[in-house]
Amino acid sequence: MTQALAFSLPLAASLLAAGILAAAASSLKRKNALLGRRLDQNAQELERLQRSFARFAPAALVERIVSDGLLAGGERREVTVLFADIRGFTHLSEGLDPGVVIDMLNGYFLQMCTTIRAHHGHVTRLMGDGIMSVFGALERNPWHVQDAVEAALDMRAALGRYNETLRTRGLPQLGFGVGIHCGTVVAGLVGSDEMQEFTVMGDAVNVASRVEALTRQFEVDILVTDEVRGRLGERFQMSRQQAVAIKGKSLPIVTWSVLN
Amino acid sequence: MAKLLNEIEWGMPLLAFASNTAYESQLTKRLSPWLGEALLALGEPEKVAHAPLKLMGVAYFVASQENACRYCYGTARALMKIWGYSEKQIQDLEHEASLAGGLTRRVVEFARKLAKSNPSPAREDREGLLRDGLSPEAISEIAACVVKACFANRMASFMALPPNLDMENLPDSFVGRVFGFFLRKQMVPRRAPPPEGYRNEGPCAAIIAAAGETWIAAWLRRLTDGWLASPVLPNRSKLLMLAVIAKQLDSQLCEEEAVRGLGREGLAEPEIATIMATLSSTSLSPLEATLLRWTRDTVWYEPRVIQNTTRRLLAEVGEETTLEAVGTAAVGNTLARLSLVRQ
Repeated sequence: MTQALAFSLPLAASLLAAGILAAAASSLKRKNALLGRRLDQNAQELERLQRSFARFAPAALVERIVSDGLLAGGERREVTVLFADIRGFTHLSEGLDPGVVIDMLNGYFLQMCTTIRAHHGHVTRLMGDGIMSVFGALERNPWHVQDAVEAALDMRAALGRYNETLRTRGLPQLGFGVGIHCGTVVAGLVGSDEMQEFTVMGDAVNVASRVEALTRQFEVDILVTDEVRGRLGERFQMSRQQAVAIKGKSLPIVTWSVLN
Repeated sequence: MAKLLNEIEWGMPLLAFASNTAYESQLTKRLSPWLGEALLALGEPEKVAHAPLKLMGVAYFVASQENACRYCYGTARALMKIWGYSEKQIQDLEHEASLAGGLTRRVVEFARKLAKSNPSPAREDREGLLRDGLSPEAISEIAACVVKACFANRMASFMALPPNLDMENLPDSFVGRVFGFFLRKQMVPRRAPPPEGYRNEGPCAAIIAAAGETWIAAWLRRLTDGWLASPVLPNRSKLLMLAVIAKQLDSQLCEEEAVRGLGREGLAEPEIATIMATLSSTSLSPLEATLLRWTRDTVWYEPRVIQNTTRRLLAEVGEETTLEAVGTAAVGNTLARLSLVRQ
């Protein structure tokens, strides 16, 4: 009896220990499976968010933000900046029904943004009736200067076609001014926790904006800086404008209007 | 964030064919011999000398997904199933976010970066693969596998080859289930010693050297020699296309190789510099100007967009020239991406 007890006690203890271990292993397995499922759910949720976000920002930008954490700290890039603005749109829209104004503006943006994208540019911001776009910011583009000027020429043609449709609808014609400059900028995501946007900052941006404003002074539609012209080769016909002082520059700048 | 199979927008085939069956074999007859042979070779199971077999399959699969090639991605997905990968394992590779760490994940990241090359894999990426136990030869072979996928993806995407649904449905079909073992033996990569008597001599040898002493390197050597020997497009035009792709990818080795070749074709260096800086010059023929503009869009693209652009090219320059241009762009992207591994 004592012998039997002496034999069965360690056996029972071993069985108990094995049972506890098996239960622990089974519980661990369940937890692992649960963890795996949650990980999968989170990964899918992350991907779903990325895809939703892709509707509001260029896919290439989303890609780089996600994969490289791009632009959180900013990147220095050599780019070409293009500003476009509708001439006198505020005055023009005063006598029109708000719905018609929005419709006209959306039609204009559709034409212009499609053209910019077709020339490898990225629209970074719409400001009222103005467009800011950048060439060479998101992927390597050794031809960003030519792309911007070709985009501007095609925007001119697209606006001509759009004006035809406006004319047939009995609506006023639109005119625009485009300013182009190239240089080094800092590209990055800026904003608060609630709202962020991809943008480029630097002298090249300010100059491009001022050059766009000069189109009104010179009464031309497409104006580029001397730096842009110097990188274009002989393909474009241009006309030199007088040097003028612009805000933020100590020396007057020379600009060229692009004929074709 | 690569697209999934059902998210890829895919246009109608570039070329019309008499029948919708055996499209691939009908196509190879309309291509230049060098291009037809290269495509036929793509259908053979890969011979692998150094890299782990499964990682070669993984690299080809994720590169095809990254390039959003509906045809190759669908075929590679079916091959992975035939190989024995479960749907869950395949989805893990596709989503990557749910892929566990370790060598496979590192290979997936490396393959995706090289396929995209925006930016290209950095030295740390290769060092990571070494740390995780891959030999330099195996890394070269995986890189070669990725650029081979880039070639196949471009050929299929630019011509909008209709998805091979027979192949895609094979793993889940009755035949696929019953004869799975035999299909595996026929279709998936197999181990083989490095090719005997392989000599990497001739144009672009410095670039092809990045593929190591492998079967893919031998395929690349034949591809490059056949491409340059083809009379359909002048060599000058082909090398200009290569230079454009290399410049866009910042592939210095490849650009230098192209510029040297253009020098041999009689184009002076200042002229080459002008063309490369502006993609235009009075010395370009109208055909070259058209081809260069199309070529730059072959580096990064949305399939539907490049398919439309290629259709316009076909209307402008005709079938023979377009098919040769498609082959040239595919070769150019393959060589330029491979050379990035050496930079």
